[in-house]
Amino acid sequence: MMLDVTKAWSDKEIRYEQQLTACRFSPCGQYIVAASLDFDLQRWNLDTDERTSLSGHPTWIGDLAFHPDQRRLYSVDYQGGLFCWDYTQAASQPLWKKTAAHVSWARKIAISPGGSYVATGGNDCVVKLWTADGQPVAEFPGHEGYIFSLAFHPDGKSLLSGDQVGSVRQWEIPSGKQIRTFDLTVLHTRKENFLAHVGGVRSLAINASANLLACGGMTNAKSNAFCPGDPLVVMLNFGDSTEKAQLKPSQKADGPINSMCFLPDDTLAGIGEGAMGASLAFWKADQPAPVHSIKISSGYQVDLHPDKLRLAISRFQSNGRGGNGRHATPETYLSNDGVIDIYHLYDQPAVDGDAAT
Amino acid sequence: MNHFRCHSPEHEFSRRQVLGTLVGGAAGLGANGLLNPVVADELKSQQKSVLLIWLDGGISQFESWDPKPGTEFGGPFSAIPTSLPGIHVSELMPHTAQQMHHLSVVRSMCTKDENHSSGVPRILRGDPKNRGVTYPYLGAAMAKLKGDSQSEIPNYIWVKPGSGGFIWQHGGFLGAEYGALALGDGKPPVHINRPPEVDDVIDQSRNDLRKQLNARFRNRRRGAEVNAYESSFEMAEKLIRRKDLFTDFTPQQLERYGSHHLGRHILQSKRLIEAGALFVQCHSYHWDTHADNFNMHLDLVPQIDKPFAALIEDWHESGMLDNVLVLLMSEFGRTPKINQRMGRDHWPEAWSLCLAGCGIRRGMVLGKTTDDGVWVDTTEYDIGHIFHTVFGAMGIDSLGAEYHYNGQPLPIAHEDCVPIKELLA
Repeated sequence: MMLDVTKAWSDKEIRYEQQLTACRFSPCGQYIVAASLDFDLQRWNLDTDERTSLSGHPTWIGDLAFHPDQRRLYSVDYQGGLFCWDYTQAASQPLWKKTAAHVSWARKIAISPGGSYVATGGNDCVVKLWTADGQPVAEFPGHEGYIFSLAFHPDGKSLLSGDQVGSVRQWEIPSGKQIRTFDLTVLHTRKENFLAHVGGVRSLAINASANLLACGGMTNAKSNAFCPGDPLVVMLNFGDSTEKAQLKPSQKADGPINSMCFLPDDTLAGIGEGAMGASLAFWKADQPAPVHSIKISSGYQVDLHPDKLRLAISRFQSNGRGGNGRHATPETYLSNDGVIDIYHLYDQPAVDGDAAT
Repeated sequence: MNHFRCHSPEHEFSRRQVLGTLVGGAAGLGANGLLNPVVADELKSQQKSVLLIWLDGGISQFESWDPKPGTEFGGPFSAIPTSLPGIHVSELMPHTAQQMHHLSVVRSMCTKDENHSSGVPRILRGDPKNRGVTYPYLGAAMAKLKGDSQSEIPNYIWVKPGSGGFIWQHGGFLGAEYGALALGDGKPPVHINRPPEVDDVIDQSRNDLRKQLNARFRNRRRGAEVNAYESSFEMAEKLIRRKDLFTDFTPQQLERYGSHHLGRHILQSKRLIEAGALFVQCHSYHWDTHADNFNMHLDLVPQIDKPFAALIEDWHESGMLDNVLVLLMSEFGRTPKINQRMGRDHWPEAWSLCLAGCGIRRGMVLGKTTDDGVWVDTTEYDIGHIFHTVFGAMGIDSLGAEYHYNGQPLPIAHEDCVPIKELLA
């Protein structure tokens, strides 16, 4: 199959009765796992659609990541917990867990390319490095806001972390020496009358050849209540830290770019959030406008399948009228749903019937 | 044409502006007052005050007074025990949790309006029955019912972010003189300092001239308009004499209450109350978390938790809490449903507020919501009940006292509601 994002199509929609946030394909490609707001991980077998819940987190799960050994899955939660699971087994007990890996929320997790290290970050503003068995290796203090995003360099020798106040830092692995910082304050807003920081570096992605670093979020936030802003990706030349382009979605949206990933041809896929909808957008690194865009409801994560030809997104799905006030009886007042869409990033093959015509 | 009317209710405050804005709102002032003047005199003889802390936009009940961790709509935060055995609040309120034995929390508020624009004034006016008049805000009502025109401090002061001014609209049918003196960013009127070239003699001369002009003006207009004009001037003059109320806070005070807006404004409100203000409304904006509700509450709730707990503790220790009623609330709560931007929308169906101090029973949680926090599961209370209760705690017979407006008797609180006896000490 030839990669062509402009021909992207979807034939699989997985719906769940709670909102889904983080989602990733397993390295074997057989499963997709998503974090749901009922504190569980939901694992779907893509061949059979069978769903299994991995239960144990005491609160919302911030993020999840697969180890390349095709057995272990890691997840972090909003009470600072770090859990390790054997996702190939039906049993829902974690292999091990650290309930206080971080003080307060653990928001993000990343696994080094070779699988030697696990990095976590959260509201204590400290990046923590662990062995794959959960032994602490090092702590990297220095951020001045919550850590919102993590990404390992493809060579595994450094780690990038992005925070609430628009700073991205590169750390040497495993020493924790800070190599450099990137100024992404364009993604952070704190006006004089705001009660809180708005925005931040919500997502990071680095391409396979490590010459491009994408930093996602939103800029120019108008308030800390509705938090409306302009979604933005700042594409940097990784080598010299210079800005290559500012990428914006073509679909109207007012929330941050929550997640991004590079495709094999260095096209960037990004997914954003919006009160009236958002988009899954595909950009070339030097072009502000996307080469293709798919309108969706608010999206939270995008992940590339190991076959490099499929993409999964987790997104919001309304379940009855929302907004202000009740508009429902007690029997019909239900939480909103979550959906995972799986897109094929190539031209849809003609089915027999189409070919006949 | 009325040259005194100001169409901007929140402009920068100065003596001159006060004079210019107030009289226009005085139209309609007439025989307004309590039906029974004896009752009014009794009320005014008592030394009690109210501090209303208003979180504009709506704090989430899930992330504050009524946590439901582990439930469908509960969100990520856990609940922590409080100084009241068996009672939990959100983990975002560790300081307040330690003061719960001084507080009364109502978890069964159910009100009628899901919009800010109509809901804020509706709540702050007590949502009375429609009788073709505009009711006063709670602060204005209190100024009417218990205010002392001879007080050294204005009766109704509004400490708020942004600009200040004289907000005559709060007076409703009571008239402009019962409006709020708004202190923008908690700061004093901009012309609080008399220019150095104006000495006492000059100042006296210009005051005499003003009084002379007022007297001439009074001959051609209804007296009430001039009364309002005079009272606004006096209001400014009172604060000009009290520059000591606006000195810098100490590092220790800021450490205890917080150096952010709300911490400073609660400190300023505390000063004003302790100096004798009858009613202070301390306002914080930007609680309307339609997006990023959980990140926002993570940062916002501590900004009320710490200063509120410090205030309660300080006033308890000084004995002030016996004389000051503190009311902490918003216009509604927030939806159980989490929306597409991880926010919560407006939810008047089941929400919480907190009362403490003067006339209020301590260590009380009234009402409950369903296990999932969506609906009230016990008796529902509307804002009318709260008005009755606040009046009752302040020694006002809310079921007996009435306003009298152009010959029309008007209840001071919704006649279908009553004081919540469980809350009254």
